[in-house]
Amino acid sequence: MTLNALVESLRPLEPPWSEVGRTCRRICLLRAAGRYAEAQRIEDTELAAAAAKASREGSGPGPEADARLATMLAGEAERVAAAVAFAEILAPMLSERLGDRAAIHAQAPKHPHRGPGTGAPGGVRGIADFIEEMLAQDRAGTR
Amino acid sequence: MSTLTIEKPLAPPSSPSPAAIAGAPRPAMPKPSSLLIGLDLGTNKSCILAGPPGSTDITVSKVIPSVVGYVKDGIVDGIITGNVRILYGEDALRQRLHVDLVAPLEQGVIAHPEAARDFMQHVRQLADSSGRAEIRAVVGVPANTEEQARERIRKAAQGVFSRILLIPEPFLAALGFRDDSRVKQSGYVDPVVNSLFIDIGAGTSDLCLVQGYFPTREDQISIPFAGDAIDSILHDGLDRTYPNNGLSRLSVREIKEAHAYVGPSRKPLDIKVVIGGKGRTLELGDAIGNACNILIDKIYPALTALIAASSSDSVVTLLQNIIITGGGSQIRGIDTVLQRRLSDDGYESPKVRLAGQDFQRYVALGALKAARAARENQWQVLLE
Repeated sequence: MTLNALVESLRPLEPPWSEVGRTCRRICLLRAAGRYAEAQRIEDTELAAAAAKASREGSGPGPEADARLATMLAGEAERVAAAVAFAEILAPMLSERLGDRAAIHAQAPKHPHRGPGTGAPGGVRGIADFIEEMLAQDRAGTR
Repeated sequence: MSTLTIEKPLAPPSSPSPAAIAGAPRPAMPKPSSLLIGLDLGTNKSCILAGPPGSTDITVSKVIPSVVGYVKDGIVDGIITGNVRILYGEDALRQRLHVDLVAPLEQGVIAHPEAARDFMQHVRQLADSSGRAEIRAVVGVPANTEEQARERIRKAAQGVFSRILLIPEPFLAALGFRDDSRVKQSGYVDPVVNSLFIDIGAGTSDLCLVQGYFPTREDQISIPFAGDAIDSILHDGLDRTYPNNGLSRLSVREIKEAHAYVGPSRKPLDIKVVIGGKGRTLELGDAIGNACNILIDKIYPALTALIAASSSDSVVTLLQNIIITGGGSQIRGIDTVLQRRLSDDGYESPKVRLAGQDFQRYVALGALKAARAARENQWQVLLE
């Protein structure tokens, strides 16, 4: 995705579909973060309500509104996936170019004091955080 | 990672039905079916757990022998049900006279890629008989598995699963062993926060410090000595004591699984076997004990090395939380022998315990939990 296309994609949609677009993006971001249940809840409630409202205020419910919603969801899913991939590529490049390996090491700590529960303060860490550490170790070549 | 690349994203796990959203009575758009698999790909046995994303349901739970049987040429029609050319697991073992048995893994890693690929297809079939679901799998690998071995798993899974994540088995065992419903209870000792897991399989024994962060290479030790090595030593011992006994490796394994123990000799241990069609009683007390005690000698130095690597702040609690899982946890006395040895060496009130009756499922259960928690960008895409 070029920068122009990215800017274009972030341009607000015209009412009444702007709220639908925002909700679609939230759902896709939640799915990208592995929070499927939360995404499903929003899909079933907020998105359903926003889409019904937009349909009523537009040309009414029907195949055209359905198709528009499906297109918006597919578009947002693709955008989020592209952004994630973009970040995956960009982060190590920036880190290397700036000579700052701290970002990677912060994700893959050596734990010199080897204390238990050295993760996120004040609570149980999520499994996705552990996986992130594992992947960071792979990238840093420490595993 | 030659098989991996970033490609156009797959359809999201579920899409809303525009028809339903609009409140119209039209039929909903079909949702793409997706399924998550937690797979403990073991040298002798594999455990498969599967379920949909976004829930805690487990729709498939199976433990099967990791073996593929290729039907021999010339087998007449009807001998093999359905005249299939490949059998798997128990079916393959039952038809061992009529098939060439191939175990895809040796010492925890894929040794026969084609058989591994066929086995993966079977796993997929078990999890999704429709063959239409988009499947993502978290697969357990021995601690500190080399990249070449990881790549073999990816290749075997290519075209079978759409995405994959490879995670060390002892860490998955800790995740699987964790009782999620009690994690926030004050008295619960979370194994993911501070424990030492010993996962004794067929090919490798893996030890891993799990202390609230993802274990580094230094926190994990994999020893290429486990159930299969014990079988081999026991078999050699039997051949010396009872020449021409005619027992197959599989029979020896069955004897071991029924009578394995560590610690002082439990002689006499009389075991009835059938040799050449005749029943015979063999005294195997020393043979079994000697073979199994070698495992203790192999594991113990690794165990103390990992204890030494933990901080003085955490070691006292860690010593209370040493957990043995995998098939080796069924060796009688393994917990008490290790605990006594630690005590005798001056370690402070060590407590070694067994994971329990679900020992065959913890790795796969941890893998399924990881699959459900993984972020979209953490999956590795497998291109066909």
